[in-house]
Amino acid sequence: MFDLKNKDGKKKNFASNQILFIFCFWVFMCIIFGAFSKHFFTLQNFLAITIQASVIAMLAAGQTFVILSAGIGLDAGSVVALSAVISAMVMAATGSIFLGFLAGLVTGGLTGVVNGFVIGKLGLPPFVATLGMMQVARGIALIITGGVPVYELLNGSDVLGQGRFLGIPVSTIVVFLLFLLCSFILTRTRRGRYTYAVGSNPEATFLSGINVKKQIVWIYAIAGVTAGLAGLAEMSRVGSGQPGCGVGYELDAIAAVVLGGISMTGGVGNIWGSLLGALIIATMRNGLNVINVNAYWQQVAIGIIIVATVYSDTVRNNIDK
Amino acid sequence: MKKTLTVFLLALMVVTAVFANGSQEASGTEARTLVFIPKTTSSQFWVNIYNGTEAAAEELGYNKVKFQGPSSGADVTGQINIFNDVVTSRPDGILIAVTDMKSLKKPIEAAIAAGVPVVTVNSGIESDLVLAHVATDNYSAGAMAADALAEMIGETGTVIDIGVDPASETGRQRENGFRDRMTASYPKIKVLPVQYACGEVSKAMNITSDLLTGNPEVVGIYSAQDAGGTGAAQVLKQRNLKDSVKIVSFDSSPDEFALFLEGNLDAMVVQDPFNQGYKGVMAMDKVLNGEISASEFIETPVKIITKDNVGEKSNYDLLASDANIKKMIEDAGIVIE
Repeated sequence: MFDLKNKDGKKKNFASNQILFIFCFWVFMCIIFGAFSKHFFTLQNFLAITIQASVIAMLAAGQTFVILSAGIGLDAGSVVALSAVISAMVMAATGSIFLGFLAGLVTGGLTGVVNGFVIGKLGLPPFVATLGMMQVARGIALIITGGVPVYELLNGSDVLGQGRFLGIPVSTIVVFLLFLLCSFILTRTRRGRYTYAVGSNPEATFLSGINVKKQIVWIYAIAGVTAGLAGLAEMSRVGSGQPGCGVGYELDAIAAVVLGGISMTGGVGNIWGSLLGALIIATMRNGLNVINVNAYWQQVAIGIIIVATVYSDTVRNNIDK
Repeated sequence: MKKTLTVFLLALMVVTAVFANGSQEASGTEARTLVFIPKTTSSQFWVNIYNGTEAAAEELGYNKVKFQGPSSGADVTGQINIFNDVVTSRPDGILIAVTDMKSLKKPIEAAIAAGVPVVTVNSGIESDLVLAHVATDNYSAGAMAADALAEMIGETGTVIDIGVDPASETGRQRENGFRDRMTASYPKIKVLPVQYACGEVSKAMNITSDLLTGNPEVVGIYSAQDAGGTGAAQVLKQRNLKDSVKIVSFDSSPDEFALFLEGNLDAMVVQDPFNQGYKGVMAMDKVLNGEISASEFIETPVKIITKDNVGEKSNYDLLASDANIKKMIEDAGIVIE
């Protein structure tokens, strides 16, 4: 008789596959929404959900690295705004979409490096360091734009946010490729494994000869680049660089990571869970809109769903023990 | 121990000197200094009000008006904190567009009692202590918007309602004005439950996209704020629906205006932010000179601007107070008559 066994020798069953569990939860949610509105279960709506999930998903990818290392990135939303406006301004100044997009990614990466330096070298707690960056990045975005959105983007710059390839939104494709890349990095490269190590036991990691400070800079730089990418996606979809955009996005990103089953204490988790988490959040919002739920009740519903998802995951963990 | 004490005392002296110097500078000047606190610094609309305050301040010989506000239009606590901090700096007067009328009532009345006059602009509180309130009559503006949208959709069909945010008094008045008029005069129009964009274009896009999916028979969209209109128009543009769905939106920001010129947005309810700021400062001047004794409401009227009347001089003046929009009108070759 074949019984698939876990590493601990316990039987592998449905409940122990975290990703599968969250996926089924998502399907369950879709079925409920579908029951309330026939318009929910259409391909167009599903693609709309993936578009709406893109920015948060990109942020969740970077946030996964950070949370795996037992850190937290509160500056994500502000970096989205900063990268969006800088990218828009560079595009306007140089007339080149490529340079604009590059500027956005570099902006994100730089904020990440600063975070990594403050956390790794100066030793500040991630909460404090990224809280500071959250304010600074937002402030810079407002200063350089004078508070006014940068509109009139170059033709063709909307490809990331609005374009389609073979009918599939470009942003959806980019998100999928991003997660493929990040999953590869986390599971197959040295630096990826070190990320888990730092979150799991920073002391032991240091003692085994790994340069923890450098690793932290690398982790937050990656989170910064994904935030930069998210900023490009946001700008590209909205059609302008809004310095006030992205407020609260970091909370959605963190919620996506947590919903994906990744522990806030670090060291364990599968990044595909974060993608599912982002999908759940976007589906939730979309579904509640499509079935015309009152705006106030939406807030309540979202809170309940988040708690229910994480609770059922906790129960699942206990069954698995 | 001695060394630490010396360093500490030196530091204390330096800090005291800096603070003392700071407060001396503030009281030394003759010209008056006002501070304008908008709902948010992140939108062109409030910058336009600020430009109006600047123009009036220059005319009156005041110092440059200061501009301080939260980065999010729904951040009530942020605005309260900024307000209190500004009061501490004892300016000659504060102009404020309140984010939430109930939460700002106590701080504003306390400030007035403490000797810092406050004039409300665009969004106010219900108080007899505030001697001047310069604003649009948002309720009747909402009703005007309802008439405009109803005419465009032939007085029948389903309409999306994008609100500002639940705490915004201005937003609520525009909502109520719109919905009451629809209920009273256009029984064949069905208005969907309101969804709030909270001043974010991407949120408005999601709302519009989802509501269109759930209600494909929608023929019109009403937005109580420019971000909502911009977001809705973006979605119509992306879905190629500009001919089948009409949008009436409040305010005119450059990104919204660009979509208007393309035909993705059909009418804008344009306030007069420049004059709100201008008249606000003029009213403050009267308050400071003791010329106003009882609370006054100074109205700045709205105009509904469509492709048909955008060339009229009075409409052009309203729009052109925003330099970006002025340039767009010139580039589009619209004739002003």
